[in-house]
Formats: sequence, C-alpha cells, structure tokens
Amino acid sequence: MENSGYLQNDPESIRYRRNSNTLTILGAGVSIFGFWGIIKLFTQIALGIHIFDASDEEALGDIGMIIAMFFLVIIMAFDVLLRLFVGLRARRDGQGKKVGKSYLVFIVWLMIGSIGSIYIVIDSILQGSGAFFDNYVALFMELSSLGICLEVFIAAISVRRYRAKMKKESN
Amino acid sequence: MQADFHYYATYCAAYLAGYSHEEALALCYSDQFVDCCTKTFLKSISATVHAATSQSQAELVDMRSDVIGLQDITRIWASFHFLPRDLKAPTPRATKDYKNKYRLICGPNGDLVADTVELAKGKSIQAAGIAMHVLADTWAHRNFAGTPSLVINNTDNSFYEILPDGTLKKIAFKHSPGAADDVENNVYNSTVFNTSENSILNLGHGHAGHLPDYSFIRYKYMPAWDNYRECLKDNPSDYYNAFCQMVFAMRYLRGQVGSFKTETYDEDTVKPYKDRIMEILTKRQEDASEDWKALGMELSGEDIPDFDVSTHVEEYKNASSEERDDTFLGRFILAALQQKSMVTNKIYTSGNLLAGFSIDYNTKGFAGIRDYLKLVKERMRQEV
Repeated sequence: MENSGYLQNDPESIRYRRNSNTLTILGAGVSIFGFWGIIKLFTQIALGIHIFDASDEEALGDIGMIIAMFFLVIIMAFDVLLRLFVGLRARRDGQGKKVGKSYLVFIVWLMIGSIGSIYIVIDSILQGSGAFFDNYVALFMELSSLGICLEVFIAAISVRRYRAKMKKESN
Repeated sequence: MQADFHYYATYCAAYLAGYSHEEALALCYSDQFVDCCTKTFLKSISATVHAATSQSQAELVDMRSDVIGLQDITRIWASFHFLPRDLKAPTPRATKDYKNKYRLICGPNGDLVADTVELAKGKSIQAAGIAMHVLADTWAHRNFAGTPSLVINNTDNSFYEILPDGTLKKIAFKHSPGAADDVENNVYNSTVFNTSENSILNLGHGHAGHLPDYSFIRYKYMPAWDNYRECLKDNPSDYYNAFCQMVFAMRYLRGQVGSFKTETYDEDTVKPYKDRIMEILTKRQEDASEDWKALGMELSGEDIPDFDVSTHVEEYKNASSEERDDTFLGRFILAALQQKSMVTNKIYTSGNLLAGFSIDYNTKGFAGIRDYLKLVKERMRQEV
C-alpha cells in the first residue's frame, strides 16, 4: 500500500500538509491575539488601573486624556483589524484557497510591532517601573504573539514554495 | 462491516471451510449477533450485562465519559470490533496516554487475532462465530481504535475515492444522524467534529462514516495518528483477505489445519469462487446481502433465512437457570465473556489501563471482578 501511486507520502508532501495545518490553526491564533489588547484595556478600566502613568494623566488633563484615549482606541482597532486580516488570510491559505501575498508583509509588521513591545516591556522590567506581575504577563503575551507570527510566516513561505514547485512540475 | 459480510459472507466462508448448512447458519448468526448483543438486549432477557458485545447509539449517548465509563466502552469495542494490532507498538516521543491509545489501533494479523482464534478452538460454534466477527473487523476497521480518542480516530476532510479507472473523486461528508449515504454522488454521513479527546463522537471510525463498512470502496485519507501521512484503504482487497483468512481460521477450528498462523489465507479453497466473490465485493452498493445470500444458497443448495435478532430469545427465556448456559444465547454469552476477558487481560498485562484492571484467575484466584464472575462459575461447573 505504501508504494501505491495514489499516495503522496514523500517528505516534502508531508511537510506541506503539516505547514498547511499550522497555517489553519495558528491563523485562528493570530486572530484571537488581536483581542488581547482590548481585553487588557477593558480590564484596566474595570479594575481602575491607570492606563498611562499617573503623572502623565495629570499632565494631560481631562481633554488631553480623551484625545489620548481616542488615539489609543484607533491604534487598537487598527491592530485588531490587522490581526484579523492576517489570521483569516493565513487560515484560507492553509485550507488551500487562493490568497494574495500581501498578508505576509503585514505579518512582518506585526512581528516588528511585537519586537518593539517586547523591548518596551523588558525595559520596563529592568527599570522597575510598572507592576511587576503585569510586566511579566505582558512579556509572556508578546513573546507568544511573536512566536505565532514567526511560525505562520515560516509555514506560509514553505507552503508557497511547495505550491510553486508543484505548479512548475505540472507545467 | 455490516450484515452482508458478517452474516451471509460468513455463511459462505463457513460452508467452504467444511461446516454443514446448520453449523454454518449457527456460526454466521453468532457472527452477526455480535453487533446486536447490547446491554439493553441482555437486560431484556435477564442475562448478565457484562457480556455486551456492542453498544447502541442510545447507550453510547448515555455513557459517562469518566475513567470507568471509558474502560467499559474500550472493553466492548476493542474486544469485538477494533481488536488492537500491536499492544507493544513503538511510539517514539509520545506521552504514556498517547502510547496507550496508539497501541489500541486496530489492524489485521496481530497477535491478538491468533489469540482470538486459539480461544475459540475446541469451544462452541458461537465462540467460532464471535472469533470470525473479530477477525473480519480487523480488516474493515484497520487504522481506528476502539476507544474514544480525537488524536487517534480523527481524520482530515480530504477523502478521495479511487475509482476503478484510477481517477480520484472527492468524498464529501455531511453530519445528519440517521440520514442515508448517497453512494452515487459520493456524499456520506459521518460523525461531527468534537474537540474533546474522550468524547464518544471520537470512538472508532465515526469520522470516516460508514466507508470502512462498504466492501466496494477504495479511498485515501489522512488519519490523525500517522503524522500527516496519507493512507490507502482498499476495501475489496481487504475484504477478500478477510474472507480467505476466515476460511483458514475455521478450517483450523474444525481440526483440518494443524495450527493457526497469521498472514495465512486459504486461497486454494476460495479460488474457484474468486471471480464471483470479487464481483460482489466491487459492486457499487451499500448492502451486498442479496448477492452473498445467492452465493451461499448456490454453495449449499439450502435456503438461508434472514437474520432475526429474536430467533433464540424464547429458548433462553424459557430455560431454567441451570439450563440457560447450554442454550444458544447462553453459549454465546459465555463465549463473549471469554473473548472480552482475554482481550482485557492482554491489554492490562501490556501495561495499558484503558480497558481496566484484569486479574489472571489461574494464578491469583477470583479476586472480586464481578464482570467475569459468570466465567468463574462456568469454569467451576465444568470442573465438577
């Protein structure tokens, strides 16, 4: 049975199926991570935790805070939409549906954003600013997000290479 | 497999192996009865529920998915429908839980098949029927395990039928319990995906629908346990091998062959009927009962009555408690308990607790497992 011409069990085909599955599952993961920022913001508001430094909030005043919150919401909405876009595209790609390359560029954006966030959180830990526990939770989440994006990116490249090779061979 | 193979094809195999018409009928009845002997049925005739060889959908829905419930399910399905191929199968880089489940994957020609046939040797015709059911199912149900497990029994959706001309045709699945399969359009009913590892929905070949039960179909798919490798299921070939192996096993049970060896098929006896059998096996139909029945009647020249689950019920009910074990169903119940006890013991002694505890009566004495008390009593009865 193993040598049957109907089965594609060569290492490349197996890797392709594994990577397709990775895209499908982690695509959902990227989408879900988009909501982490919103959950964090709402939790901070609900628990009365300062969103900005207390001194900054005082300096901004009421109007300044409203404007700052407005921009914060805009940035978060953009982040959610971007992650949803990337996650859903990755899922479609994993399912073998036709998807453009653009989402790969946005994954790189997300990774750069995650690296920036990790740098800020590590700096915060080293400076001893912010709540100790919050910093480590934030670091864990950002590292997870970066890991997922990296894995999606590698899987997407590998899947595309395989498809291109198959297309070339069939031509 | 369905009644077409378990009842009518088994009749043909038994007759070819040398059994008389009456013996072949009793044997194939016992074979098919394995799919009907549920706890509900056993309760209805006031027999021990521990002899159950199958579970109805209603019973499965009602089962608890705690350890005890899962062990009960595994004892039934691994013993009679998904006999494990290799209880010591190597599984590098796997947790103990995964190893235990992986080792329950069903397949033909394992040591337990030989143990099953050996167990039936010198026993009742009902024991032979049960052994033939178990043996045949190792071919039909290969690659699935008789224990609820998502990581083993799940499949992906890319099923392709391999048509006789060699082309591939996509198989679609729907999830409508009770709905019929659309064989012509390749739309089959299967179990809905459930993320819970131990859900009843992840028992056996539910995710492949009834594909393993149809003799005509050849298809490829990807099982969850095989690391993204595709798997080919050639049912006509598997069913033919099952038929030839059954003939060989039954000739052994009748004493015509010195020993039962796995990987051995009595193709010489079956050869004159090979074309006819392959024609039946490859005919695109959900139920091949009529064709097998016609072949059986040609072989023996006798009428083969349709299977009726209640045929032997009155005999059992009307017998006194002392005589019950000597009735048709009484002998079936004892044989079922022996098979379940043997398989449970083998799984347990392999270091796998998925089928529960088992104590070897021969070395430990009876230590209180109520499930098999009836077996101990039968042994004592025989000794007296």
